[in-house]
Amino acid sequence: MIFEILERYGIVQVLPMDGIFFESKPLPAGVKLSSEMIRLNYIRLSPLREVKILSYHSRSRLYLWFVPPELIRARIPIPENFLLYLGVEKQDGIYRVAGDSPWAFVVEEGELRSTFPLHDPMALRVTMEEYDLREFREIDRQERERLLRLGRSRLRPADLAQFVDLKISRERLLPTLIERGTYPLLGVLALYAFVSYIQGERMQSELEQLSTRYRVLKEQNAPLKKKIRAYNRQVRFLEEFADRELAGIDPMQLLYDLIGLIRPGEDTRFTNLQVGSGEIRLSLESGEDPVTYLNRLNHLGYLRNVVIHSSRKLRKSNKKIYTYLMEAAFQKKDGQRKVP
Amino acid sequence: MKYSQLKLLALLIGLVLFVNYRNYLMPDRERLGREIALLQAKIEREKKLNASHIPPERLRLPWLDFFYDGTRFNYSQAMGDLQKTIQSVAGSCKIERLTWAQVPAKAERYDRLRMNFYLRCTPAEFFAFTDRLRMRGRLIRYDGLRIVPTRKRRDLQIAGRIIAYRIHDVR
Repeated sequence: MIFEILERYGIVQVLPMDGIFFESKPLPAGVKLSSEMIRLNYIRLSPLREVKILSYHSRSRLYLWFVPPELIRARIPIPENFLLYLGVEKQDGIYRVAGDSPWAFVVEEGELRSTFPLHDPMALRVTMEEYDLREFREIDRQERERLLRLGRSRLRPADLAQFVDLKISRERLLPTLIERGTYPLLGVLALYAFVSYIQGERMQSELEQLSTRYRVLKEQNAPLKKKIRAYNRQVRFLEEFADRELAGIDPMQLLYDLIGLIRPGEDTRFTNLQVGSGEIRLSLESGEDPVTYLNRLNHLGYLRNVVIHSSRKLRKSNKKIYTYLMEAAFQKKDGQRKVP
Repeated sequence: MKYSQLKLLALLIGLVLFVNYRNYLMPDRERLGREIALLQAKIEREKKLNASHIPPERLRLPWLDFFYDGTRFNYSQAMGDLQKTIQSVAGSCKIERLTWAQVPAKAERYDRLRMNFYLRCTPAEFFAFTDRLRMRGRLIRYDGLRIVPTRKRRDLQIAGRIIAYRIHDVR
């Protein structure tokens, strides 16, 4: 698919074998030759004087195509025999390609070995004997087109890259970049600017739509929000009110608890109870040990600093009046008795 | 002028135009994206609130069950009502005296309605009295409670202050 697009835009060209001379030379694995080195080493093999050398490093061989420069019209020229070689899946054999001037190519041990014009049937026999190959295949025009399509589809980007000559001298780099890159770069920048502008416009319009929608919803919810705000204000007020007004001791709670202070059978009675803001004064007329009541009062968790403030003996009886002083430390905010 | 020089000129002009476009004209898509996300979140919140259908009574606190309404009762009327309420729930508690000051004790948004009372009753009667008073609904509390047994022994003389509240603004 990419190959076809590149071909359509003249970036890739399939070079017919007419007028092209092919050589396949052994090369140790892992050796890579630069285009200068290839030219230096193999230009002598060229039957032509003015020639451009295309090369391809296979696993163990170096393929060389000597091409007259006027045949190359695209940036990436791919020789036809290479595509056919890929099309036949690198299977060993001799392949005769039909056409106005028929030619043949040889694949041996999975490598492209030779390409030559084939006018004389004797040449075919000699070649078969030379390579010791029995496989022979005739490729007619239709088959050729099919194999070229297959070859194109099997061509990997790495294969393609081997046919691209990107060697540019340092002095020519900037002029070449300007020469070749200006319009594409300007095109990309213009496209980026256009896309970003359109995208921005769309986002702006979406933002406006959302703002309108939000405004409408906000207006719809405004009365409810007002009520919620008022409700929250009231709740805050109630909390502050409870903290300020209801945080102290509840005298009724204290009364309930003091009822249990004097047990049945004890010779004791209340004589006075005063509940101020935080301070409690309790007087008991009793013939019992005053420490008993002191301990009982201390058992009420919310009373602190319980002391016997004074004692006074009564003349008529053996009893005494004990006055206890204490402080209430509890803050009963959620007392059920407080909020009806 | 050579063709490549023209291209160089075009490249420079193109770059200048692009840089200026990027600096001054290009929409800030990142900011717009943030604003859109924020608005979407806000819209979701509004939609949720819109769909919540909170009944109005849920947002109404029973203020006037707890407090005297400052818009309906002036200070004297509120004290009069409190006095009537105390008298009506007294039951077997004997109310000896109820007094109040002429000027209310003002707080920020409410008045404290302070009613001084003198009662004579048994402890059980006093508890019943308090319960009845609180069952009437409005919020009250005792302050400065003094309890002394009378000579009859069974009765208590109870003095103190009942505080109720009059609120000015219920909004």
